[in-house]
Formats: sequence, structure tokens, C-alpha cells
Amino acid sequence: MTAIDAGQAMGDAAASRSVERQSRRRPRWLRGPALVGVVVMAAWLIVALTLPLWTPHDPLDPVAARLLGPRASHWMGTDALGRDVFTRTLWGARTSLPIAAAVIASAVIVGTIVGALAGFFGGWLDAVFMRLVDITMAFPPILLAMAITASLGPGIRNALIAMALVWWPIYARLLRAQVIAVRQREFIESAWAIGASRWLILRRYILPMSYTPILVNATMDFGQVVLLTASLSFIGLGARPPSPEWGSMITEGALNPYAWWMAAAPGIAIVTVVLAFNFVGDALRDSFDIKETVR
Amino acid sequence: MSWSATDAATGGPDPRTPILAIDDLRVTFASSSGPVPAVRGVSLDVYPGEAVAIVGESGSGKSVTMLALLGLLRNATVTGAARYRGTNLIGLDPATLRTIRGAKVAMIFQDPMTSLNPVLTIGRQLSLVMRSHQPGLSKRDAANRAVSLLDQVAISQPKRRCDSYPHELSGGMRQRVMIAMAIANNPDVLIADEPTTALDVTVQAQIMELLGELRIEHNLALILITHDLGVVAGAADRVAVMYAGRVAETGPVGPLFADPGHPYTRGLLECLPRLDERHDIQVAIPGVPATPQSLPPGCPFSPRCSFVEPRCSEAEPMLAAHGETMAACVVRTEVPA
Amino acid sequence: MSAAEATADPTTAVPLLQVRNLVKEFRVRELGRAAVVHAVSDVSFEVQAGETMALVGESGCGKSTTGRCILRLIEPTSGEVEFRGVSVLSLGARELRKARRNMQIVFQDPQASLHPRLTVRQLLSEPLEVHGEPPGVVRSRVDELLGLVQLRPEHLDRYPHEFSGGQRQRVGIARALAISPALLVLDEPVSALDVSIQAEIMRLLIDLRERLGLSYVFIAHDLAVVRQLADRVSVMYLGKIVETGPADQIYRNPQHPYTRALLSAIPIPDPVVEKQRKRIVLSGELPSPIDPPSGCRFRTRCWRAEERCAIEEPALIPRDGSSPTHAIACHFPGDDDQAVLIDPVSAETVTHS
Repeated sequence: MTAIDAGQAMGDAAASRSVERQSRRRPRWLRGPALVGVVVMAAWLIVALTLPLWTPHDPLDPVAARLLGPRASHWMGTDALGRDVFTRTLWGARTSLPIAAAVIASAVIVGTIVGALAGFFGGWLDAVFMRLVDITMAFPPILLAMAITASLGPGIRNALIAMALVWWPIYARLLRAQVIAVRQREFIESAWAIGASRWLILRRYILPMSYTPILVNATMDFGQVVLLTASLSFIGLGARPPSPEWGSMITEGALNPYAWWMAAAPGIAIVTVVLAFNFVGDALRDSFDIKETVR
Repeated sequence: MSWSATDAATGGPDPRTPILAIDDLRVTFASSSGPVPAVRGVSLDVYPGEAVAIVGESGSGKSVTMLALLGLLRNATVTGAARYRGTNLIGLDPATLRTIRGAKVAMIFQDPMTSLNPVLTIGRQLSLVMRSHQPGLSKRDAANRAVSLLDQVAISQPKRRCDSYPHELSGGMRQRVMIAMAIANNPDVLIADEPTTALDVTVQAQIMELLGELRIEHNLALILITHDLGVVAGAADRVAVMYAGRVAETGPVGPLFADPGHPYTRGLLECLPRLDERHDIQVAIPGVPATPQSLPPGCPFSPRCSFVEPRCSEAEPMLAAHGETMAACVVRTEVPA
Repeated sequence: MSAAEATADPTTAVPLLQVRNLVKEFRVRELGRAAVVHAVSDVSFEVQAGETMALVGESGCGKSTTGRCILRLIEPTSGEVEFRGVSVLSLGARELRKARRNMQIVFQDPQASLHPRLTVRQLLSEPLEVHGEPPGVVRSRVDELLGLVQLRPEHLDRYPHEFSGGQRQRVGIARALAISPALLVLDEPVSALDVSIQAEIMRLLIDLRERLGLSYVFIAHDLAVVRQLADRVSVMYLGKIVETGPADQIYRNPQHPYTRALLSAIPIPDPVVEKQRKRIVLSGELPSPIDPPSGCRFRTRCWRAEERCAIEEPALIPRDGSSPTHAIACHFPGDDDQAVLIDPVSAETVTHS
């Protein structure tokens, strides 16, 4: 026999109370790892936005002797061309973060449209869209991104297009699954019963109740896209030198293994971004779960 | 502790002492908005072989009371006593509690669909229940007994059913399996928490009949938790009506229905639709049932009570005599001067 | 004469709702093979204006599916549904939406049937807005609706989860009444509520019926609840109507064995009566709707069953021993089994031997 949770035993009144609390939008989940995540995210955002005003050094010009180790004047030393690694790492955010945002945004938009239509209307539309999704997802994402970028020609813009093309199917599938689940719920029947049109139901009923997994996924994918951008740049597709992108900085660092700071700095930057978004995404998911499962 | 040996020597448990004595049981849940007193002092005696019904609506604390005495609650503080044959189950060490729970004091739940393990066959589950409480029992003996148990609960083709999985059975049959599991170790007390609420009414009739037969055959004390007063009328010897975590009224079933003391009991009976009458519906109890989080001062029923007087808000009434029942109401249990 | 015609009151004109030979079959996969669930098989009945027809039965009998088919929330496989003589099933999408003004539904679970992110105001305004009512009309109608279901203006800006079960159901009822339908389908409207609240909501439904001249199709499994407001009762089993007639006659003189078993199974909250009653306890289990028994679907559990029952499906028609408006689908109807049923009028126990 398993122990029965307090919530179950207390029944209706207690449960509706905690849902009430959630709906008042007090961010009770904003503690612990989530708080750390939000702070780090905010920090990177501020850096990315304001960096040109206070940059410690120029990211593109040599400013000191080459391959100097970390010291007071250069916190993460200098690279093979004498550029300040710490500055370049900070500048990397101005490339990686907007790219990731753009990729996620386009993937979400395209994925939502495809997924919603497929899930809501079903039939041949669903079949066609889902085959498209299946075909795209059959390729390993990095491979596909590489292939597209290579054929379009290396460069940040093409890497962005490639990544968006690789990413949208996930959201399409996610949203389609949600739409299909929400479609069955009784309050949708109520909408049909009063004579609402299909578009009204899609707009006001289905979509607002389906977006939560997208939000969670998008937050956590942010870090993944940063990684993918870095990977593409690492192998030479994506950012081109001398642009200070984290992945290409790691490539340069790999060529100078004894100057460990060259790869370490961008590596740490990537880790902090990915972790931060993961923490926030986790907390979001937890807060949405409570809202959905408590009745 | 060999209960059956003692019983055999004395011819059964003493019918004059309660086999389960609940004394001032209190259950408080810890919640983020403070402690929630779900059960606030419940006392009840259950005698061998009798059927006691605990009746209440949502928020009354009826299920929580039984779950508490079997140690099945998480995040809850339980005080008071619940004595099974003299041993207080509250605060009992887990090992000893496990020998009693499921063996001597068994419980069946409302939703048979989620109470059975979906990946084990029926026979295997029955077998497990038996062998965990009777260590000497061999696999083969357990399997044979499983078949005989299914037969006792009127499941056709019991041998075949032993190899079935829960999802292959209907709701009524699953509930029978639950009952079989509960009686597998010859309990003295069977607690049934809304056993028929999730079932159709014709199936309900079958299950209640089965419980009645088993009670007589095995001299089981039955504690029936329900909100359905119709079921209570047919099955119970005594009734305890719970409201807002306490017993509002208790007594033998006949007098309680014929002349209810507590206004809540009265109201409940009055607003019930009866199959044998078509009468104008009285809205006997306005308002909503009190919940543990929102208790008024004094008598918890006072905001909804048509007999209310100012003194009702002063203190919570204790159980006092009203005819042949005991009711927690100062107004209705006056002894005329 | 069809069953529906046989049981209709011959003195009125076109009935408000006419259901004829309604069939709904669902395609499912069972163990990898395609199978058909016969949820509703050839159901016919009528509802006159101002009348309350109760559809009763246990789980799996098809009553909820029938209710939804009437409103075309589920598309029937075949059959006909006519509202004031106009076919509902042949309407195009836009006409169907307009026709929704006539028939509405109240759902069983008020928590699940109200959009959790809309306020009460939005929930009540929506039906009016969807049908193009101007904002002034919408506002005053919403106030009117609040009064009808006894909610207060401060409730307008709250969300469904902030209410108790009974209040939520009031919102559901108000929403269904917003565009003034003539017919309400109520799908187990009180089953999910506490007993003391059930009485309130039933009272409300009865009052509304008087005030607004509504007709109800009341779907329920609890014959005791139905007793309070049904004019006619149709008992369903495994997708078919097995007995139908004026409420009084169904309760006092049930002829079909299933109806008799159902009535005897319902507990009466009176220990004296209960202990004297002899129940009909049905044997066996409900057959699967994928493979219902041949002939009479109830025969596998029926104590009167004979060979004929497996071969010939009994028609739903009046029989000897019943009035012309009381139809039974049974080859051997009657009250000759040993059961103690309550005679409702005198509340005496009547033993049949």
C-alpha cells in the first residue's frame, strides 16, 4: 500500500486554494536554482546590450603580447594574436544570444503554425505536415545543420537559417500533441455547443491552453542553440574569424592547447548560459505542472 | 501474535469489547498556508461483526480518519488513539503496523481501476498479499487459495481469472478482486472507502450484497465510508455522521433515520431524492459544506443551520443524547428542565 | 406506427424535438484489429414543448452519446434529428452554428466544461458575442443571467476555479441559457456535486423550467434524482431504449426486466424500507458494446430469457398491461417476478409474487 498524499485526501477545497495561489502570479518558483538562472540570464543580457559602452579592450585588435596567461590586466589572458580573451568572450554574447533568440523565435512561429493546423484539422493536412516533420527529424540535427550551412556557404546568417530549419519540427510536434490533447477536453465541447467558429476556438481556446510546453522547451533549447552555433563555428561553418564567437574561439584554443585560457573562457561562458536557461526552464515547467494537474 | 489461536481458544473476539476503538483522533496537515485540521477529535467504537457507516460530504474528514489510523497519510500529524484489540495503531512502529494492516485490518478503496497493479496478474497479486503476511505459505498453496478467494467473491471461472490482468476486468469485477485481496488474510475489520461510488447502481447492489454475505460468514466488522445514505440505510447497523472533521451525530441506524437529532443529519435526509416519492424538493441546507480551512467559531454547522441560536457560536458542542442517538448540538439535545 | 409515434401524445402538433432511428458507431482498434463500438443503436423518441424527457441508464448505455448526437457535438452515423420539424443533421456548418441558438447543453463536470482562463463575465458574454449581439445587449443580458441563476455581480470577474462546485454549475447553466434556447440537454448535471448541493441545483432547474418554458432532455444514471422532474422516462441499455413512458408509469408499473432490476437496485434512504426490500440482483456482467448479444441485448442477464430472445429482437411498442404511451422492448414484459418494489403513491410496500 502506498502512502496517500495530503492533497488527495483533503479534496476539492484545498486543491482549489493552491490553484488560486498560482493564478495570482506570485512567482513562488523564483527561488533556488531558478533565481540563479534568472540572474545569470539578466547579467548576460545586460552585457550583450551595453558592452560597446564599457568594453575593457577592443575585441578585434591586438592589445598586448600574444599568449599571455591570466593576470590582473587581462583576466583571461590573451590569444594567439594578442587579443584580450576576456573581452572577446564578452563580445561573443552579442553574437550568440541574438542568434539563439532568432532561431528559437522562427522555429517556434513556424512550428506553432504547422503543429496547430495539423493537430486541429487532422486529415490529409495533418498527414502532409507530419511527414514533413518526420523527414526533417530523420536527420541528426548537427549533420543536417552542417549540410545546409555548407551548401548555403559558411557565415552566421546561413547558420541561422540552417538551425531554424532543423529546429522547427520539434515545436510542430509538441504543439500538435498539445492541440490534440486539449481538443478533447470538455470546455472545447462547450465552445462548439454555443456555436463558436473553428477559428475562434483555435485562437481563444486551443492555443492559449497549449503553449506551456513550448515555453518550457524554448527556454531550455536556448542553451542548446548556443551550443549548436558554437559547434558549427567550431568546424568552420558559421562565424568567420576574426568575429569573436565562442565556438570559433574554442577552435583557436584547440590549436593552442597550452594556452588553456583561450578555450576555457568561451567554454565557461557557454556553460553558464546553458545552465542558466536550463534552470529557468525547469522552474517554469514545475510551475506549469502544478497549475495543470491540480483541479 | 497469533490472533486466530486466541480466538479459537475463546470462541471468537469478545463481542462486548470493541475490536477497534478510536479515541479523540486528530489529524492535521501541514500546508503552505498553515496547518489544516482535517480531523478534530473523532471517537468511535466498532464491535466485532457489526457494520458501522461513516457518512459525510467532501471536507468532512471521513476518509482521512481511516487513512490516518492505518498510517497511510503523508505530511500529516496524527494524535489520539485507535486501538485494535488494545494495541494503539497511532504511533505504532512500522514493522508491527504492517503485520496488522492488510492482514487484520484491511481496506478497500473507491476506484478499483487505480488500486490494482496493472502489470501483475490477479492471481499473482492475491498471492503476494497472502505470502507477505503468512510467511510460511508456499507459492502453490497461495495460488490455490487465490482461486478459492475469487470463488468466494463470486467471480466466475476463478482459475482463468487468476491469469487475467486488471485491465481485462470490468469495474465490478475489479472491486470484487479488491475485496478478495482484503479478506485473503482473514481480517477482523474491513474498512471500505466509498466502495461502490464509482460503480453502476446494479453493480453496487451486487457488491453490497457480497459484503453483507462475507461479513456474516467471517464475522467481519465493516466500516463503510460513504456519502450515500441509501447505501447506509441498507447496510449499516450504526451510523456516524461527520461534518467539518468531527462527529456530528452517531447512533443506531433506525433511530438516526427516523428521528435525527443534529440539524445537519436532518437536512441531509430531507434533501435526498427518494425513489419512492415525488415531493417538492426542499433546499434544506443552504450554503456550502464547511472545510477545514474555513471553520466558523463555535459549532461548524451554525452558518447553515435553521435552528441556530447565538450560543451556538460560543463553543463547539459535545455529543449529547437525543433520543436514541448522540448529537453534537446544544439546541437539539436540551433536556427539558 | 413507429415507436416514437406510438408513444407520443396525439393531440399536439409538431414535437419540439424528434429523434428517429439514431445510430452512432465508433471505429476503434482492439488488439490491432479494427472493431466497431455500437454506442447508440436505433434510438427514437420525442420531446414535446415544455416537456422533460429523462434518458436513464448505467455506464455504457449510450445516453450521453445520444445527448451529444442530438446537438451534433458528435456526428451520428445515421438517423434523423428534427427540431421543430427541421432536420438538424442536414444543416451546413454556418446554419448549424445559427441553429445552436435553439438547443444547448449543460455538462456534468462544471470544472472541466468551463474555460479555466476566462472570467465568468467572458463565459456568459461569449455565446451572445458569437451570435453577433451588440455590446449593450450583451451587458444587460449578462446581468439578467446572473439573476436567473442566483449569482452576484461580484462573481463576474472571477475565474471558474475560484468557485465551489455548485456555483460553477450555476455558471454552466447560465452560459447555456445565454442565447435563450428552447431545449436544454442536461448531461448528468448534478452527479458531480455533493448531496446537499444537488438539491439546490435541482430546485434551480425546476424553477428555470417554469419561468422560461424550457424543455429538457435530462440524462442521468440515478432514477431517484430523475423522479423529481421528469415527465417521461426512457431507460437505455447497451445502446437501445428498452422501456419508455410517462414517469409515473415507469416508476409504478415498470414492465421491462432491466427497468425492474434497476429500480430495485437503487437504495432508499430508509432503513425500515430497505431491510424489507427484496432486490433483484442481476447476474453476469455488462456485455461489450463491440459485440452485443444477438436479438435482445439484455437476454444474457435476464431471468425471463428464452430461445426467442436470442433470435428475435423485441420491438419498442406498447404491450398488454401497459398504456398506449408506455412502450417496452421485451417479449415477456410484466411484473411477475419476485421483487419488492415500492408503490410510490401510497408508499406501501407491494409484494409481487
